[in-house]
Amino acid sequence: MGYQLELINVSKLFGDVRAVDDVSLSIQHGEFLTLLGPSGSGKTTSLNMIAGFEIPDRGEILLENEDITTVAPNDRGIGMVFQNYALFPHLAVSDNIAFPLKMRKTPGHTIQQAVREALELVKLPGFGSRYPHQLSGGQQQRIALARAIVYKPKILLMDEPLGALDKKLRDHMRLEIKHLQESLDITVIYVTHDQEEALTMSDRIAIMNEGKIIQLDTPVALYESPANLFVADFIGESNFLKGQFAETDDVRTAVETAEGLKVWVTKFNQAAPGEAVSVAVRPEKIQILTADVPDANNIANQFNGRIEEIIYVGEARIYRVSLAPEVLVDVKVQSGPSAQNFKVGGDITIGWRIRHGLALT
Amino acid sequence: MEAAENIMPVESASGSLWHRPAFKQFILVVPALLALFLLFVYPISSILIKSLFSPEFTLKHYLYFLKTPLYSRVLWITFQISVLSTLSALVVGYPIAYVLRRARPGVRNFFLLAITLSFMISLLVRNYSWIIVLQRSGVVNSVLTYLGLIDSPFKLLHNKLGVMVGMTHIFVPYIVFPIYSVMMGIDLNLEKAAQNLGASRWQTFWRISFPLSLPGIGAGALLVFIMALGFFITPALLGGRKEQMISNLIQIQVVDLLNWPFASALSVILLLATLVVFAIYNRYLGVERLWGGVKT
Repeated sequence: MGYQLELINVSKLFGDVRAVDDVSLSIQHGEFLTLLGPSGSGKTTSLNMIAGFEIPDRGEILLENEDITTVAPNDRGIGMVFQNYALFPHLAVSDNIAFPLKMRKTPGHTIQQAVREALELVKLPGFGSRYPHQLSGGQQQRIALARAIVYKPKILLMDEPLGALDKKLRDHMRLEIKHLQESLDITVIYVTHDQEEALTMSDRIAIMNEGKIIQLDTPVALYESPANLFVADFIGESNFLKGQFAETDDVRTAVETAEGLKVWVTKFNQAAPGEAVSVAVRPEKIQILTADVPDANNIANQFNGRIEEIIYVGEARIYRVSLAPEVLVDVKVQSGPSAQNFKVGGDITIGWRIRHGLALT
Repeated sequence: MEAAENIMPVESASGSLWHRPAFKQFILVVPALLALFLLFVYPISSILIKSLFSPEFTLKHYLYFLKTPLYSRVLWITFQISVLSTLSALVVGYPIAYVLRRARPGVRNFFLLAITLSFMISLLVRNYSWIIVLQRSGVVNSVLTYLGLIDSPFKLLHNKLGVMVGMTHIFVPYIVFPIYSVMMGIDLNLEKAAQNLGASRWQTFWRISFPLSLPGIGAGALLVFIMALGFFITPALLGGRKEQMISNLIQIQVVDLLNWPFASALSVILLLATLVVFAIYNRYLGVERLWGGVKT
């Protein structure tokens, strides 16, 4: 199957700033792809170039194998949902949704039918005669969505569409957008800086930073095996232990920190002894080792420490443990009856398996 | 209620007027009321009284106005010129506001400053400048003659054209600012959205940008139209005898004929005409928009 949309070595400069730097991206039909990155990472600029609001300085954009790099936005047939919805305040909801159809000279009765269907699809039937300012944020969001899909565009672009909603509504809309995307079988390119949003909705995520795609992969792959420090830090929480490579045996490599801690990771092939490296460990992969933990002996990385802080976050507790002066490690333990006996200032033994530590250079 | 009653007696105990909250609030409004009375209520009522009493109550000045065809014609001309100059100020001012909205901040500030600066130059100076530009041997005519485009100089002055040019020039800033400020409140993403949904630039303008800027057009047009109704210097300097407006008549009555009662009657008529325009505007667009209370 060919790609539906391709960005080939696309760059965009604003003055001296490389907003987008040599980005290549291929998206398949029906895929939900998220551009994820901190602000200023070039994700919105990339989206604007796909929509046609910005023309790349270099590179080309292909839509179904046709070069659309310089095609005007209104001739692309790519739908977009804007961050602040961009509903036309002087038009009623039904006229907002009918707008793209009117621009396409669709006959009146077809428009009425399509508007009604679109309103039902976003679960707001009967809202046609209201005006945008009479709607709540979540309702405006749905109308913006209805307006973007009513003319059945090939691709739907979404620029932080949930950014202005409160957490509960955001979580709910996430799933709804995902379901809508699946039932309409439409390609979505989604921009967000919210990693949780990206992880729950996407088929693939492109992590962007400073105009470049740092890693492009499935949510699981990004979380479990980040390609570098930036991705490990950006996606989820990680503990980082800075050190340098020490010895390597058949299956594993040791990393020694400045404080003399020795951490074992899966065998790292290009491990030149003395080379600087960071070991990333997710807080939830670290265990608290007590006498009743089975096969504790098989856990290669075991350290004694002192509990500096206990943070209760509802479903879990985070124990901030100092392994050495200046070396703090967060351990996330699911809340439950077993995890009650620890106090701040107490001694504790923690550990994690070799495969849970990632050496990142 | 109980609590309120407990507090109230404190005032009667002290008994002083100065300690009543209502009085304190009233004191704050006094300067404004005083200014309003001295600058508006007193002059307008004294004009009204002068036009109606001489010294007994009489409507003769108003009847004279109605009976003399010259005066109704002048009122008609006043309206004509006001409408036309408002329209031409709109035609010139709207694109300026539109471009300013989209200009880079530096460019925008420069031009806003330039427009503001034109407020500070005396009306008289600006009108005399137009005489230099538009007269028979002025810049426009010399250039056109030099280029061989015309044989004899155009008559650009002391006619409707001269008045229109002068008034448009003065009114443009007044129309640019309200439109510009309304446009600043319009999210440019709306235009992007319209284009994304398939609208051409032209469709985007007519269906989105223009209708959303209408409150600014209304406010600017009202402001300028009301100013135009009472305009005086430009028709006096750049107009001919046929372009004299009602304010010019008032001036003649006051300065040349010393007919103060009739001048007062004319002023009241002008005021009424202005109020009618204002009322119509309020009926269809809502006056609160003038003060920035834009309903979207």
